[in-house]
Amino acid sequence: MRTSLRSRNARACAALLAVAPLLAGGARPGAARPVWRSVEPARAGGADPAGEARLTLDADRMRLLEEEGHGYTDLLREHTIHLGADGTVVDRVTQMRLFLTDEGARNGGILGLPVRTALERLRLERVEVRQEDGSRIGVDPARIQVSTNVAPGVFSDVAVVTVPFPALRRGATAIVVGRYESQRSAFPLTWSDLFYPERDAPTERFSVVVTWDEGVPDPRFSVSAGGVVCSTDGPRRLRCEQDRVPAARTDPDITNWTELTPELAVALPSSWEELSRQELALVESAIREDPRLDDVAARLVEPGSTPRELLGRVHRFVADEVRYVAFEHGVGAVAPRPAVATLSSGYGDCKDKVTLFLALARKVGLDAWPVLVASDRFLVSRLSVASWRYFDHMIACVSLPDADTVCVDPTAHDVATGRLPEWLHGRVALDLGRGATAPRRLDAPTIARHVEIESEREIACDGRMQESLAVSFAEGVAEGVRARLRPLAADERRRWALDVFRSTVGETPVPTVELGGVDDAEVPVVLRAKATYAGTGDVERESGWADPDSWLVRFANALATQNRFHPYWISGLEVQSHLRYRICPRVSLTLPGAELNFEAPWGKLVRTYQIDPQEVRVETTFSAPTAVVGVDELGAFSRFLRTSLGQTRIWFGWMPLRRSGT
Amino acid sequence: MESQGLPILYLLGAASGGLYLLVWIGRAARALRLADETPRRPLAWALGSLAPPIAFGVLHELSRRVQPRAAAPAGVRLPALLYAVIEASLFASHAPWLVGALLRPIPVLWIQASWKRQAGVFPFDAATVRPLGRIAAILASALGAALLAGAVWRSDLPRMRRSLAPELAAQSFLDAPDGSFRLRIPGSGWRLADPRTIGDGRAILALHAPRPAVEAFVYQPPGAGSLDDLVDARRRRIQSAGRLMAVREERRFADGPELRPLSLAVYRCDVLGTAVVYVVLTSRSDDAAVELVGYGPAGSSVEEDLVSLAQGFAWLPTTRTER
Repeated sequence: MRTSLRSRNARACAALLAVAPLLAGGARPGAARPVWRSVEPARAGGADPAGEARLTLDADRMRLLEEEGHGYTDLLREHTIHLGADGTVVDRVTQMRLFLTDEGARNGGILGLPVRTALERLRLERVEVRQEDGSRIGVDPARIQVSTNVAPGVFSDVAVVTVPFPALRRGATAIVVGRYESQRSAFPLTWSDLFYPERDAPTERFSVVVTWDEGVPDPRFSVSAGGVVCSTDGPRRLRCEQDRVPAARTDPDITNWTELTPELAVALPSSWEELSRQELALVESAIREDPRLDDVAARLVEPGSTPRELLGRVHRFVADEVRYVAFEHGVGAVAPRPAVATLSSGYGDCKDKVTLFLALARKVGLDAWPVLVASDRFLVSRLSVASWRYFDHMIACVSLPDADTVCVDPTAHDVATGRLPEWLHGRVALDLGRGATAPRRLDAPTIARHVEIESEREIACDGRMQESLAVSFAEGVAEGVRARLRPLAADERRRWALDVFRSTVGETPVPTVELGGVDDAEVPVVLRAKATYAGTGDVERESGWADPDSWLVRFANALATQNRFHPYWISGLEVQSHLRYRICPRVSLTLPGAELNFEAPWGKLVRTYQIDPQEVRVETTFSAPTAVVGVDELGAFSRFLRTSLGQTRIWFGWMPLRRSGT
Repeated sequence: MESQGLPILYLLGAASGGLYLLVWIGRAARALRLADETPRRPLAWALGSLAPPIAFGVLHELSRRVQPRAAAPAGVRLPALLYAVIEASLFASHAPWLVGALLRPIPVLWIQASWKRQAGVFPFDAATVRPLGRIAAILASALGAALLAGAVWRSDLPRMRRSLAPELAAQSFLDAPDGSFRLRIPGSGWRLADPRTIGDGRAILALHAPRPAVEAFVYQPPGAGSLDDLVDARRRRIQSAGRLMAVREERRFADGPELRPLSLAVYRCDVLGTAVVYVVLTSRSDDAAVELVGYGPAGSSVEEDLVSLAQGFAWLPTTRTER
């Protein structure tokens, strides 16, 4: 369940962004055909054109890095980019990796360069291993591998060129130099690139040098945090460097890596208005009149429908009737296919679906527009230059006459109309058109995930307890549960429900379980169960009852984090449990358990008891509104969860009616 | 007849808790009647001396009637007045029985001593008994002393200790010896007791509440389990002492940044027909637990006093950095 509660987008619309820059060093738009195996094998003892031999580590530094637990370090990561007056972009990438341990060689000995084959050419200029004694070993070009790097449902021209470096061991250095060539005019959006100095291993020298021909406007640059220093050290030349870049510190619960690590943005001059205009033009050009669109729109309109109802029908049609399949070949990474093509093929990615949604929405009279989203960013302030590279998703927003703007994600098959999937809450967005002059943040509901537990528990005179349970998953939790269950057959769904029950309550009772609402995104998913628990003995001999509030604890505990170095984003969660116990008529309930009122800056746990002679109601609510837990608060936050949820045992007491005299 | 002297008279008076003094007054009245042949009612005189104003009259009259026989008359008013004042003070101040038992014989001894000096004219010695009577007096005194000791043990000693315990200033703080927590004294009238001498002897701190018979104890349970375990254990102990009629418990975080759980519970019990209220505060940190248990006869003011005291509990900040 933890997974489902934390369900994050596994598929920010990949088609809007090329390759994850943190891992791959950035993708490059450009032009023309790919060249795969234009590789010059290094000759042993040959020239050292880049002067890499000067880049070494002294013994102290090497020992320090080893002591810090690093198996390798990048001696050099360098981009030398030239923007030609003829529109060419040349990016010479150099990476030199020194292995500090044999284990490091085993784990970090695969270096790869990503390439957008439809847009750019990659030429491997040098690939070799420099041994500790200075000797060099080349790489057999025939062993270089070109593989696609796509997720299921994503059709992409991204490939990764990987090199099997020979004879890697402690003290060896793997060197790869690649040269990318592309054409700016082949891509419809203004050239820009993002660089991330911090990676999973330390870097001794990080360098980005940008030069440009006369006639090319001066690029803009921005450094967010970190120690990168930029200077224009010559005419039409920008140099950004940092020595001894530490390794990025990782944490398990990160939704916004790109904001937590230093970032260098370089872009040709543009503005948010210009970017908005450029992308909007691509979307609008894909919305063309076609009778097939008219037919569908006509089917979606029912007489007397309100705008909200129309929105629901259009959204459900595009979300449910059009499969999510991403196409990011070439400019397809940012330009949607025609709406009618998406309609007729029955599939599309985020921008395709948004385009179809816009076409249909406008035909039924709705005022709708597209919005770019950066699904891994919360901070507008980090978007320091106007660049399309920040964004990886597209949604649509609609202005309804009776309400504020409602945004929908047509790719979110499992999300109700009127809601955005949880992984978009609070993210940075750029409206296309509508006079948008800067990015904004999408709304982040105070409570984005909701679980409600209703349980009727009948305690017999012999101590047996029968339970009738309904666990209702709503909003973000329902999205996660639904996404997990929808592909499953009925038997597998029941097995999942049974597993959830047993892992929450234990193995002892054998429940009957059923699931509801899985296939309808507009209603909660409900797990119902009936179970009988073994008797504890004659209740008249006992003085009270203790029970864990297992379901509440399970779902609330999903908020726990192991983060140590980075802030933790809480997507607001509320878990309510309504438990009603009815007791054997031979005893009278007299003693309620502890009322709870645990309140902390991040949320609260509240419980009340209502007690009658034969019935006790236990109402418990755990709520943690949407918030960011700072690094210095992580310990206290964990304590809040641990301490409050450690006090959730239910207890109530009774007296035999003979003794109580009633 | 044999005179046992003033020490015996004192012992008889003290050991009997003052009852023997009534016998002494009765016997003195009887002896006076025999001496001057004036009609007297010894029993009425003895019982009349139980009331302070009448006691003054009785002793004064006894002494006054002996004076004319004396060669060297002594003061008659002072010991009678002293007796009456002691009686009145003990009555008005609810002073412990032991104090009364120890003080009451003194003016009687004074009178008896003056009569001994005038033995020629009034040879009365109420401590003078026959051998058989002496044995009976010794046995009676021993029994009386045992009863008195028992009564003192049950009732007077705590009251005396309470009255002797130092009073704590309102809104002052008591810090735990290990510096882990503190307790704010909610108002006047609270007194610090020696935890070794009251309660079960395991408390680290004991307090007398402003009202009689209301006490509070602070424990640091060693190797304590969870808060649930601690609360359960205390509830079971309360249930073993009497019938638990009602409970009200609230849990929250103790004041302070360390988010330690705290339980405040009010139990109402029927202990052998007497309604007793228990107020129990339980809180624990990662490595320690604190339990404050207060109890007294049920009543809103008792509960209010004890809850106020519990609400003054606070953990003291630790220097350890928590993660």
